[in-house]
Amino acid sequence: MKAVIAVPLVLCLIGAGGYAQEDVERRNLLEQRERLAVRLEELRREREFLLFQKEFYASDSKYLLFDFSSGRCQLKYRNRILKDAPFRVSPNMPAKARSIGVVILTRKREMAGKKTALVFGESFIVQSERKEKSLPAERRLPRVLLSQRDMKSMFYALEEGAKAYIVQ
Amino acid sequence: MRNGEYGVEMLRKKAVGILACSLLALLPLPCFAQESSASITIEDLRAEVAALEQQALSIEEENEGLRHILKEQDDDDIYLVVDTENNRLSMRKGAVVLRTAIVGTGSRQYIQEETGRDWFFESPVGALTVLGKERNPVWIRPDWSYVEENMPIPKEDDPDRIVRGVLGKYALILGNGYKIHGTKYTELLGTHFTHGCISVGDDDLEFIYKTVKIGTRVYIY
Repeated sequence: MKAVIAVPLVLCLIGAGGYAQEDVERRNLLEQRERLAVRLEELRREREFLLFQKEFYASDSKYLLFDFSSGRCQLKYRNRILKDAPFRVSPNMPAKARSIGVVILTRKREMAGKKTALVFGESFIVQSERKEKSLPAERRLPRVLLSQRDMKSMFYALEEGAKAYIVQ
Repeated sequence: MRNGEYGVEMLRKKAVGILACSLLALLPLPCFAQESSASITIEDLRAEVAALEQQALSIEEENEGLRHILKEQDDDDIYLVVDTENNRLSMRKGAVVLRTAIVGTGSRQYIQEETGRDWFFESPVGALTVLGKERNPVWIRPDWSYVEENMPIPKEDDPDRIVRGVLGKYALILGNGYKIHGTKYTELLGTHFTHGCISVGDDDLEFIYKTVKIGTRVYIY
């Protein structure tokens, strides 16, 4: 009678053990898949930035790099730094606007009193730190604020259609 | 309960227990089941992970190649940058600024001769190169200099055109008549006052002259 009970019990334990082992592997694989997905995203971003830099080695256009984490931007030409400047952001700058990648300078706006602005589509607007009235259409846009002197340099150095890359 | 009935009942209970155990062994335990991955077989999951690993490896290799290309194109040379809006010159080596100087750049003024010839005094923008270096440079007065002062224009080889001492001790030749040179009008440094050349103060000019080589890149914007 004991044997009658023991055989299925052993079978039961072996079966459960088998499933437990498979489950551990499954869990590991799922974790690995998740890690790899994150890594792939990082690698793709890195590739995008490297390709962006490669493109500008041969280009005659100046471009900007924004690093939101350090609050600095660089004006570059053929991957050489022409100007390095600190900036602040307005409180309404959402995390979405800071997403890594390329943004295009869609409009250079110059108004009376040398009030200038660089509009990067719907992402953000670059302006001088001095208090300036905004156009109604631009009021809702988040702002990147540069010193007057840096703004002057950037404004005249860039043309509409110029690219900027958000590094972080 | 009679003995016989008791024995049958015990046997029935044991049989149920054995059956339950056997079923447990055959069925996956609910606590082990993963909801999200239940539909994927372990083999498919292994294949998926292997494919992702391969993909990551492939992009890593691609990025390494791109980094290599970028590194090859990079040089560690010193270069000059002139910001004509703010009248500033900086000497850089990558991210390091070696020197900054307040300079004078093109006045952005326009003059016209009676004959119709005209000039716009603007510093050239773009990527230029130091084509030559001069000590004690001599200024050969161009025609616009006479037009500007309402003076008659002398012949091209007229010695009156040769002026010494106005360009400072050193000059870097950028081509098309443009130079980075010294100035007598140091009080005007920081403004747009030149005819297109970049004017620099004596100390800064000496440092720049002694540091840059022929072939140094000059970026004017």
